[in-house]
Amino acid sequence: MMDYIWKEWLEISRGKAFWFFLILIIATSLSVFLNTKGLPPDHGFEVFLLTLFEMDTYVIPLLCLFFASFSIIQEKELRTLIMILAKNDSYGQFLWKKSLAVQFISMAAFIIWYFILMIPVKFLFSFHLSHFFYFLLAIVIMILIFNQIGIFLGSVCGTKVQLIGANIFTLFFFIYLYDFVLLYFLPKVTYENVKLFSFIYFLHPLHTLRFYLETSLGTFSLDYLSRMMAKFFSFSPSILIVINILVWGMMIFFASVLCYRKGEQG
Amino acid sequence: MFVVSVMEGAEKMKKRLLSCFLLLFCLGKDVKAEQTLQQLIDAAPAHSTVRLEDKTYVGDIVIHKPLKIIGASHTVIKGSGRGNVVSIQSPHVVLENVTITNSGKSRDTQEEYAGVKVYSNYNTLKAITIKNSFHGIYLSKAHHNRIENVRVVGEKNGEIAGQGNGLHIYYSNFNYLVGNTIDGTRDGIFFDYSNRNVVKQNSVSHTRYGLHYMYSDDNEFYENEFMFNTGGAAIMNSNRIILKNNKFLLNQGMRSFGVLLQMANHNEIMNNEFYQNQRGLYMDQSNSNFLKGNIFLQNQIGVELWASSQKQIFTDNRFLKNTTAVLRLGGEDSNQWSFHGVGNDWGDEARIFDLNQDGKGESPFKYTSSLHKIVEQNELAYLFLNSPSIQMYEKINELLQAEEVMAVDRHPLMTQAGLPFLQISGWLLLIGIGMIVVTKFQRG
Repeated sequence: MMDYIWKEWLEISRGKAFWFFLILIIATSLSVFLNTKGLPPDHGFEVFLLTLFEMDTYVIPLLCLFFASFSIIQEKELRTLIMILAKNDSYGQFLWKKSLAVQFISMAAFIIWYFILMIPVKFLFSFHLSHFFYFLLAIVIMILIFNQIGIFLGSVCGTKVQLIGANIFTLFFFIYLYDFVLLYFLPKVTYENVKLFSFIYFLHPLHTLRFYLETSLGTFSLDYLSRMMAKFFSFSPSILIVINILVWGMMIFFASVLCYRKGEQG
Repeated sequence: MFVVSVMEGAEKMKKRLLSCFLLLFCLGKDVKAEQTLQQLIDAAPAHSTVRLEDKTYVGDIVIHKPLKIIGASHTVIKGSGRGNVVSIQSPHVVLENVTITNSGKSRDTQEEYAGVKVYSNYNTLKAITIKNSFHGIYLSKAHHNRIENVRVVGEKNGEIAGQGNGLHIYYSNFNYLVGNTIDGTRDGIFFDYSNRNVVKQNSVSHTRYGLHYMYSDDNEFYENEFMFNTGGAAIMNSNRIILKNNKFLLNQGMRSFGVLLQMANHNEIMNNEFYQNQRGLYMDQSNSNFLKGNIFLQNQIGVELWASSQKQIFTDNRFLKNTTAVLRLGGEDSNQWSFHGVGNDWGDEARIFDLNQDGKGESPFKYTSSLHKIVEQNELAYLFLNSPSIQMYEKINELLQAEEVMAVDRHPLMTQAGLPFLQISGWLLLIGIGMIVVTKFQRG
């Protein structure tokens, strides 16, 4: 397992893209920090975390999709995958180890950076450790899900051009298309079917993670809701997160294994 | 032998009697030290000062003469849990530097209990912390009082009827509330039939309504901060209120707002900051309000105006980075978006020219949007106001010319803004993607 992590690290760290993205993350985080430093110290920390999270909802999907998917396609194109599969590992085992390596490195990069970032933040705002861990958990889950989707795309695409197209479409799907389709169905939502609508709405990992973070930080009020809204928000954020991990983390992993095999057969 | 034993018995008796006297003496001293706070107050002459020790006194107490009561750094007055912890029935009472806990919370009685209940005028309550109480401070037909640096800590997110308000002002006029902090109560400051009060530099968070206003006129609010409430300030059935230099921040939730005006007329709302609220300002059945110099920044809806609200004047306000600056619902309106030739600054929304660089647009600005359709159809539309797809929805409706005019500003203001950091970040992201693609192709 450590071999995979080490190999992944060497591949990523030798490329310019990883360092460029790391600088980008640092720059955007510092921008958020500078923009929120004028807020009241008592509540500024939560606002800072939420703004950082908002920024990450654009950066992390992009970063994870591209890195994870290119990591797989690279194995295919450089024919290292054939050599690995020629040994004892099946494609499923390879993908499992590869997933762990990709997840480990990307999560470690974000976690280390956010711990460093918290040093100046701690001097500026009232620091709440539990709130920071809620934020970190939301970020880790976001990385997990979008890495797995990236790995899936890497598995099902045959060429880099295909992969770039698939990545752009996936980003477009999660950032624009998903909500746009829901907006189309909105007039048909009634009190009777609102729970189904809620379930579909929260299948979007970014919706669920935002909901989880805002309720955990106490910044999103679920008090005094109308009957319809109360029914809409009847799922617990933790359960929604588990569902999202099951669907976008685990199911898509199995889909990656299955679809790759189908591709080979085809 | 018998004589010796009698002598020993007498000695023993003497010792026992001596011990009893000593014990009684000591107990006597203890009884004096345990004098109750009520006895201390009753014993103090009017207009004198009672200095409390660094300990917990047992309430409930009633103050019925002018007194100054000053606590030490850890003085606590703990109520019985069956009534008001401190009742002030005399004017000119000063209560300072104490922590008050454990008022009655029963809802079976006619009276609503509080940490401090004031029934008289010209009192000062200063540097008081109130915990575990139904209401924090309750002014009942009490005028000309000063409440300063009081901290009320509520239960946070409790059942709505299960706890009271931070400061409850009932039929009370000419009071001055300054520098108080309220967190987690039902409403922060509740006004009921109370006029001509001044509320300054208070901070209210995690309540239902930071400020709740019913049938109260001519009150003034300066430099207060309302954060993380379901609603910042709900002003209902009240007229001629001044809201100036206040901050309404991060009041987020599905029905949240910075300020709600409902059946509230002739109010002046000036130089306030509305930042990241679900709705900055929400107006329903309210007429002839004057809004000047406010900034609406990054709210989902800057101003939500129902057709029942007419004749507002908006001048010199700034609308920046809101999902939608103005949402007009329910039909036509007759609101005025400029005053004496001064309109509002619409930020990036206004695609108009300022050719002579005088800070004013060369042509009137029509703010259009199509969001009112989905909001009127289904309240769940508010869920999507943060979503980037809303911009796409607006753009498509703009192309289809399916938008409606929300506001017409005949004299829009223009300011030269620098590149915002999100825009810079966006460009950096694009460059990043380009770099990756290039790098990967080079390596491939």
